[in-house]
Parts: sequence; C-alpha cells; structure tokens
Amino acid sequence: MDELDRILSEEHAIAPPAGFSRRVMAAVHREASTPAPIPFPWRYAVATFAAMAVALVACLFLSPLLPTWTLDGGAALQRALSRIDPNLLAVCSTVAFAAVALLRYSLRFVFF
Amino acid sequence: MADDEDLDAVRAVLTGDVSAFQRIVERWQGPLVNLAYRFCRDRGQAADMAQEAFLRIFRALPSFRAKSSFSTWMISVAANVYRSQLRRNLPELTGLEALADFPGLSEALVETAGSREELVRRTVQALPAKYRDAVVLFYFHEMNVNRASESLGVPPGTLKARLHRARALLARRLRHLFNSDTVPTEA
Repeated sequence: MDELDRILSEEHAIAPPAGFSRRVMAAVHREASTPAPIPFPWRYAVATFAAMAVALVACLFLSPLLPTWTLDGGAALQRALSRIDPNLLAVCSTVAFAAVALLRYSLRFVFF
Repeated sequence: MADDEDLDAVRAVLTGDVSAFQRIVERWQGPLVNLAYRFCRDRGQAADMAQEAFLRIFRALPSFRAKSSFSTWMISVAANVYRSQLRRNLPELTGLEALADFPGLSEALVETAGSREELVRRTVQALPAKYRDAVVLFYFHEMNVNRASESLGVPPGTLKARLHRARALLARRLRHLFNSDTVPTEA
C-alpha cells in the first residue's frame, strides 16, 4: 500500500449533525403527504393519436369515392366563410372556445 | 442481517408505514453523510446533500428490485445525487495542476490546506468528475473494486482504468509532495 492509499484510506469519519435524522424524517413525511403528480394520460393520448391517424388515412382513401355534391358543398362553405370579416371570425372563435372551457369547468360541479 | 432489517423496513414503507423509513435513516445516516463529505469536504453541505439523498432514496423505493443488496443500491442512488449536486457547484480547487508546476509552492499549498493529507484529499476533489468519483467510491468501499463499480454503475474494468488514470493525474499534481517512487507515474 503506497502513501496515496494510506492517506485516502485514513479518512476521519464525521458524525451527522444533531437532529439530522429528525430533520430527514420531517422532510420525508412532508414528501409523503404531498399528493403524487398526475401522470400524463398516455393511454388516452395514444388512443387519440391512433384515431386521428385512422381518420386521416380514411379521408385520403375514401375522398375519391365521395359524391360530387359534397365537394360542391365544401366549396360553397369556403366561399361563405371568406365573406365573413376575419376579425369577427376571430372574436367568435375565441368566445366559442371560452364557452366550451366554461362548460367543461362547470361540469365538475355537476359530477363531483 | 443488516440487509434483512433494511428489507423489512423497505417493505413496511412500501405498504404505507412511512415511519419505518426512520430505521433506514438511523442505520445509514453515518455512511451517507461521510460519503457526501468525501465528495464536498464541507460538513454543512455534506449534511444537506445526505438529506437530499435520503429523500431521493425514499422516492425511489418503489423502483428497488432487490437485484443487488439494498445497501449497494442505496449508496448508488446517494452517489448519483452527490455527483449531480457537485456538477451544479463546481469545486474551488480547479487550478491545482497549474499551481503544482511552480517548485516550492507545495509548502504554501500544504499550509493553506492545513496538512499534507488534506491537500491530497482536496486535490482528489479537484480531479475531473469521472476520476474523482472513481477515487472517492473506491476508498469509501475500502478499496473494493466490485462494490465501488456497482455504486458507480460501471464495469469493474472501467473503474480500474479510471483509478489508474486518476492516480497518474494525482501523481503529476502532487509530485512536489511525494517522492516519485511512492506514487505511480503516468503511463
């Protein structure tokens, strides 16, 4: 055993400070009483993405089979939307989103 | 025997008895505070680091799979906590290699550190992280390569290579303190 081994092996042990275990246990109890974080809903997310992918593929493959009147209807809708003032459209969509969010929030009080 | 007691405490904690964790804290507070001190060389900081390590161990208990002994697993978790905390607070003595190039300065460094032994330990602290971790854990485990490599999460061969390199670096940085035949020279 050389000099370096001797020095590094002879480290003097230090004692934990007074009340150390009490402090640790207090922190552990705090940790235990904190509710666990809500995990990301991977199951629902994967199901949603899968459904979107299926819908996209279905649209791509089935769109040539659609009757022509649906395409005409789409074009008509697009023309109608283009006539609406974009600012008004933005305000309307914001109000609609806010209404949906409010509705969803208020459902909590109905079901819980 | 001690490991059985630890496993009993772990099982109790996992079934909801949080107070059972106190048995683990009381049994392991000494080693964990001392390991933290070997990493940071500051008593106050060592206690804070050990407390954080115990919290991390408590959080990680559900992932303990008993593939290795509880003590090995726990020290491995604690070592990871200490290493990541030291990455945030870089050691102060990073310029020792440059300082050691001036002959006659070693006496001044010894005086600053308090003793030759303390200077060696501080020089270990100033090594690049992977060599410092290898040296700290190797001597913490009383020079047991297998246990040190398990704690560090590397194969024993890797640990040996890092130890060899660390000792060569130490020899170069401390060459004014030691005779060349007591410390291995760099390969």
